[in-house]
Amino acid sequence: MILQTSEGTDIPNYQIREVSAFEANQFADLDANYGASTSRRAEPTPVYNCHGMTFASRRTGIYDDPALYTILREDRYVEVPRDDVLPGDVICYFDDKGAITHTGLVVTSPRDEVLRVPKVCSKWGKYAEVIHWANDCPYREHFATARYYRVRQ
Amino acid sequence: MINLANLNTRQLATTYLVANTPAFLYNAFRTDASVQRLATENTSDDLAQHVEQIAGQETRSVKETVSAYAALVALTLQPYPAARLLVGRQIAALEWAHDLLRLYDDTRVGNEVITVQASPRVSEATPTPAATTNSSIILSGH
Repeated sequence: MILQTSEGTDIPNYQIREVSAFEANQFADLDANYGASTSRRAEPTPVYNCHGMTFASRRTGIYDDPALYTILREDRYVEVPRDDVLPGDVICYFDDKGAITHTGLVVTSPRDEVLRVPKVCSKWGKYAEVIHWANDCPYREHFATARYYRVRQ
Repeated sequence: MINLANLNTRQLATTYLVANTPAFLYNAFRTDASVQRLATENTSDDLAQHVEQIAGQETRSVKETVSAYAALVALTLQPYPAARLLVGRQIAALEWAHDLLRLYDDTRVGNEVITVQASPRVSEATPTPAATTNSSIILSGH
């Protein structure tokens, strides 16, 4: 489908149909493996991925890493220091090569009593949307290098 | 026919499900011990045939899809040009197959030993007898 940044640049995207909801539900315990405070908030669907949830309103999946940098730049996202993070900000997990492996939306700000770790709503690949601590998910090895972003007003 | 008995299907299926990008899947599968074993215990032809066979099915279970991606990644772990066996085969039904092959091509580095024969420079200040030396350049990687 046609997906563009606010400056009109096309963003490559597609919808995956490779996994049925029935099959994904066979892994219904997946989120349970990540702690009692992790909860699934929707049925599994492969149609969109985490980047599709964060940047494309759950309509499609974005699988091209350079396109994510284009979105951050052209949609005028600016990095937010962790101490200033608010609900609604975007979290991006980076691997050691600088590739974005996962994105999500912050739902609770980092607070001292939870070791400055925010709670996040994110889509786990072809699985489901999950609410989880930012450091308690399949991408947690990249949490140490995670950054936070907000659209500049 | 490849032997899938030792494939860590459950863990790989979980990785496949949560992978947001082909790169995540590619990197995770390449470091999985059971995929590495798949690469050493099977021939390139058998692995390529398995990928094509699963891709050719009208419907695929998650486990079958995962086994096809595992075989494809195993091919990238075998010496070059094993993965090239997939070029031209009907595998596009596996949605990330071509992305994985592109990642392989983009990150592949040589691992051959190249022997370079070079004559030493002749210097007027310190004349030395001409000689030929051998140098080896080793490019590490997969």
